[in-house]
Amino acid sequence: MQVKDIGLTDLHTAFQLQERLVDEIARQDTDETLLLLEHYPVYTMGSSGEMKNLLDPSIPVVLTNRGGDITFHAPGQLVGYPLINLSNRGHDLHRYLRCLEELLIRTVQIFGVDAHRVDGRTGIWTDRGKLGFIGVGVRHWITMHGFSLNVTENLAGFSHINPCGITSCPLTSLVSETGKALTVDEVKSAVLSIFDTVLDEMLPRSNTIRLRGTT
Amino acid sequence: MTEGIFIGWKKSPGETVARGDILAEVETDKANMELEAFADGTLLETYAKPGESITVGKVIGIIGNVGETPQKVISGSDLPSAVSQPETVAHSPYEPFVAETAVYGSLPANRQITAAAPAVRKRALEMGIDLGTIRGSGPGGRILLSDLDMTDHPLPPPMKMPGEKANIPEQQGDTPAIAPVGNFTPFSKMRSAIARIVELSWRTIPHVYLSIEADVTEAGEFSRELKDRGLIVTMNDLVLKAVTLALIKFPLLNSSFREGGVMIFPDINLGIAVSLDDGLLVPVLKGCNNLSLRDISVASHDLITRARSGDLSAADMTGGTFTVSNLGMYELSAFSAVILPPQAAILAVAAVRQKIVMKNGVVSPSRVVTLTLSVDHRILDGVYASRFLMELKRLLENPVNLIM
Repeated sequence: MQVKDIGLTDLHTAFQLQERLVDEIARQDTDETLLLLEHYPVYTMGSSGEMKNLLDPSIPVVLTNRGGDITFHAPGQLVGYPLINLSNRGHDLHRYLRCLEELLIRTVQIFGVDAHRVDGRTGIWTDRGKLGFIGVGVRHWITMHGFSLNVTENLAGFSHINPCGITSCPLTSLVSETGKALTVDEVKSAVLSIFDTVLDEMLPRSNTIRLRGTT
Repeated sequence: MTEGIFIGWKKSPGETVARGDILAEVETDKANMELEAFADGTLLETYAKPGESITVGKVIGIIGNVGETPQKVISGSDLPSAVSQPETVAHSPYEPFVAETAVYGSLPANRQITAAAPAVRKRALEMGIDLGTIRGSGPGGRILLSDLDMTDHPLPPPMKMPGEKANIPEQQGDTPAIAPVGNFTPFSKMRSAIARIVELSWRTIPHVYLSIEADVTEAGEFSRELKDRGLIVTMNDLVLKAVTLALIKFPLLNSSFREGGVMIFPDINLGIAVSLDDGLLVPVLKGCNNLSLRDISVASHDLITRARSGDLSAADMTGGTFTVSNLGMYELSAFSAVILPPQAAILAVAAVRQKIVMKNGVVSPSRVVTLTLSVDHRILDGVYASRFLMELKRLLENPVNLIM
């Protein structure tokens, strides 16, 4: 597993880098990779998105090959693109989504924030609203795209859309939740401190067979 | 997960596709999956439409030979390649989502091969259905999952036992008999997990078995003495402690085969096979190298109790480095066990039984137990395993070693 912190990056550059890495991972030229970054302000639409969820049609939107509906990225939001080879980890896309949720839940726990899943609404939520977002693409069983986590309160961009297709979706951030002036870099460190553990725990490589129990 | 949203085609009808090309996209939950072609050919027909919800096993398109027309392909016996959407047998989010895009290259016309997706074949096998007996309702007679459900008794009647009435109606026509059929019972999750693991073990680990008989007369007395002092130590606890001490001397048995080498584990985490009504669990006693006999006794009794009451966590069942399987409560003289991957060895402990043995030229009644070690022959040979067993025997026959 390698980690690349590529800082503030535009969507196109990040996508090209993902495509190149996926090719290399498929050819086994590169290890699985976690990209950590922030995006310049941008709206992206997933494969099942509906344009009606863009409330201001004058805003340009980038179509992507991840799952889900429309979302918004901007500095102050940590974006993570894990490029993981699921063919070595059980070929289980749903479990991978749950793994990303687990990663986000445990990350915000480090800052004392109690987040949870909501059935049928992939992502992580607190009592105040949606804190973490998930949208994934899979090519040759290697994952692309991934998650974003609101760190600062820079959420204005969300007011022009129904995030993830959810009307009047309440949103929150780690800064709102904790009342502390957290930075994206602090949250990156938190993600890195647990990423390998969560991944190997939820999606063990297939050479470590475990008798997973109980009926 | 039994259906997904078809997002769209990446290839148009008439376009040439090569194995590995991205054909289409399907979305499930918040994940977009690119479907690959598993055969070379030309995309002849597309059935799935963007935005459509499609169920598992449905044919979404056809790949065939250049120049063929779909109608001709479908009506002929020369079956085309088909493109099916991801198929899955999963129902909970924690089950594998098995995407199997489709599969069949162009088949020679003179071969009688039934067209069906892998998930259909798998399901048919589970249901005991011979695909050759079914008329598929998909394109080109392709057999779909729904065809299986509509098939009540696809096979010829089973061989009748004398005086027994077959409960399956006679098959029409001249389909040849394949095999007798019985009632199919699906496995529980635990049974499935055990099946998968022992199958993997049997397929990948060359097992070698060695047995030794240990005289545990003294160990039994030792156990009773400890009990008088208020410490419950079972024969199994003594074996666990003795195994730990022996593994410290013979670390190759506390290891795991890796391509081109062996990984020796720093800690000794003993798996304890615990039988349940519908299978078995292997809770792991961690860090045995740092535990006294008393610690091992307390911790193993706790693990076994929780295994029986279903209170084990996933962490309790992972990280084992060597396993002990004890069937001492049954009247077995000896048995052998299958290694639990990725470990290198497992010890099978049979029942303690009475036996007349010669000690220093004197006939004396004794209590003995047969210990059978299964080892991964890739890692070590019989001599090393024999020396381990002799050490184990020495420790058990001189139990004072176990509290030092």
